[in-house]
Amino acid sequence: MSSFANIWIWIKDWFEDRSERTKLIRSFNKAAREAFVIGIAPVLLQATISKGYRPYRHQFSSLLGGSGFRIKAMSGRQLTKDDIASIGAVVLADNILVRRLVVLGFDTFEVHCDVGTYGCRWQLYDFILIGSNS
Amino acid sequence: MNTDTLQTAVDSVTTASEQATNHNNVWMWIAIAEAVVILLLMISWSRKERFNPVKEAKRKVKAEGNIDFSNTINSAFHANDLYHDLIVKCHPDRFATDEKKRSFAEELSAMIGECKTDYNRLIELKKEAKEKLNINF
Repeated sequence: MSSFANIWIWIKDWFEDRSERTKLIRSFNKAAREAFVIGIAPVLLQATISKGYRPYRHQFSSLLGGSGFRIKAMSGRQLTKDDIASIGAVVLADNILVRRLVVLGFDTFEVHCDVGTYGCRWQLYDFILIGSNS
Repeated sequence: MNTDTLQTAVDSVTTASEQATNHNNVWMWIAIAEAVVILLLMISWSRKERFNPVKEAKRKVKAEGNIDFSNTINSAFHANDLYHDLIVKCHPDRFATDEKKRSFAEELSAMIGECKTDYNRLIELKKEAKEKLNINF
């Protein structure tokens, strides 16, 4: 009986997490689109869920579905390593966002551009500051 | 004679089909009742409060509020320039003659260093620098 209940709770939580992940991705894309249209951002950013990198897995990692949070910069040119690193650094400096990503089952954070094959990848778990309130 | 026989056959078939329908109806209602019971049990189980550390951690993080993605995107492209601008203009050595301003500039520089990737916070610090240190940007 209790195992059945656990399965039911697991299924419910899984669907809730999926919904939260989709909401997060959608709100990021909306903000990126608005920033690009207004002219704040010179490059259109697009967030997607990717497969993730297996060695980066942690306790909260999504079992089914992707565990990677990927940002694609629609620049139309190959971005330099510094450009990609600066986009990544801003996301990783936001503790609330990183914690939210980890809890929602993401374990890998990736930034790449639409041209070329170069990109950067970070393990999200390394950027959780334990005991930090900011 | 033939008509009577035919009518009798029709009547018997109709009765049999009605009985079958009633029989099916009973089983259908039993199945519905079972489904309702299962559903109620599922709801009651899902509402039971069990301490789950993973779930608790998730709940805490989700309760932290919405994330300001517009600030994140803004910071990705503009925070670096603003940070360099502020850190140069608010350097304590520029206020060597005024002790009060110098101590404030030290505090401000520390804060600028802490939030170098947060554009909104850097804008706030810029305002403070303008007001208290009389810096023209």
